[in-house]
Amino acid sequence: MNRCWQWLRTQLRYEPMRLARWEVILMRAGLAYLTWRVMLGDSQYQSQAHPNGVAMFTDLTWLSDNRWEDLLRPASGVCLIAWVIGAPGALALLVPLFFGIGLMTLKNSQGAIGHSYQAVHLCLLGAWLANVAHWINRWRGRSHRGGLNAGQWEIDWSIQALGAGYVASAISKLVESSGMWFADSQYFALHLIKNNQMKYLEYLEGAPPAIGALPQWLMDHPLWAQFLFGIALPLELFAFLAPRNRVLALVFGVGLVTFHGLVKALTQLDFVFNESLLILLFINPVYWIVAGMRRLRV
Amino acid sequence: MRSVLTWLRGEPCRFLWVVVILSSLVIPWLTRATAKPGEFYPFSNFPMYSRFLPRTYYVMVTDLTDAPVATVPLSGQVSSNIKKAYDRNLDELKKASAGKYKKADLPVEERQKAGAKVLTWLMELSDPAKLKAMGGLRLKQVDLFIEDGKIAQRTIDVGEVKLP
Repeated sequence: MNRCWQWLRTQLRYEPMRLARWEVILMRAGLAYLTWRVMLGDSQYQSQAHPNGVAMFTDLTWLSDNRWEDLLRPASGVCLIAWVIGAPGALALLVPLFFGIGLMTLKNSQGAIGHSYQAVHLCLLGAWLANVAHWINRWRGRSHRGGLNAGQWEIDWSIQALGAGYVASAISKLVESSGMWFADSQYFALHLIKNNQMKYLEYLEGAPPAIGALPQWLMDHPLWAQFLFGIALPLELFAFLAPRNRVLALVFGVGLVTFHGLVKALTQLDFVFNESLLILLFINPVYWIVAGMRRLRV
Repeated sequence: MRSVLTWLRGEPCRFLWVVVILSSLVIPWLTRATAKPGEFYPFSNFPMYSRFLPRTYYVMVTDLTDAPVATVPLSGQVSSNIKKAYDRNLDELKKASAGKYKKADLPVEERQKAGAKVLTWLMELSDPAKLKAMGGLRLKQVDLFIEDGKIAQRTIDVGEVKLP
């Protein structure tokens, strides 16, 4: 028992991820690319009838004005490139953060809240705040407690922001379902039908999805349904462990990507940005490939 | 409170916990009176799929002959946006009923008010030429539920808007 506890403590230890310079650049590039992807497309929202976020206090419709879009989009692109190659995030991320969050806030102020892009902007916000904190610390003559430099600190807070989103999601599941999420996950069968139908109705491509035998089978075998979908709850709830060290980040990254993949295969529900962030920040495959190759050489 | 702060100071991943506390406690409380408590972009408590009930529904847009209409080519709106807009209108009707109805028990006449609002909004976003060719749109609510251990479904008309 004591040995088990010792082993667990070793696995859960906090070990600051001292990312190599190339890792920081790679992760910045990935985060910048995802931020850029989110801000593509012409925003055409002329009103904000159901204001969300800062739109509750100020009018953001001017962001849909092509004159501003045509100015802020390329400016954001230039700033993101500058950040990737080493410009201080506190300055370089200001415009992309403002424009990206502003555009998506406006989109979410149309009456339907989407959840596809929050993770990207939360991670970017984490990177920006980390750089601001770095400069404040420097001004006060202090350094990061874990000994991280500015670039490593930015990515560290991005990783923490991504983990926080999953923990918050798990807390919602527990609160909204009064703790019954795991037990009720057998009813996911109904959502399976619903999501497939909804996806089909968007383009009406191919044959209409038949209800099929799987949803009824899941209803008839609730333990299987609970195992397949209930596993998400502990994965999300304990995602706060992921930023503690590289191995935990890998374990949670693989687990969550697998879960997103399973949900997508069954329901067509896509979380492309979340999956990309998990691969980029949690799994960090290039590091493991490089570490594996180094080990093979030795 | 002091012990929480002491723990937070010693915690190496405290930024994570600050975001968790903001997203799960502070923002939901501050936005409790809004239509979507917990949502303050980019912060969210991610409430989707937080509850699996033994009944759910989706909505379907059709033309005036009840043939389904592909919503993205017509209006740029994905199904989940249309369902969320309909659901928000149902919430408002439930509130307006001052406790007379639960959302699930809203009568069809009330649902049709919500449906008409959603269709009007959708038509504003739609391609005018495609819309003109159809003459108008209908909205249908498809309920999915469990009956005697089996999955069952029922479709009800919840809105129709014709072009003038």
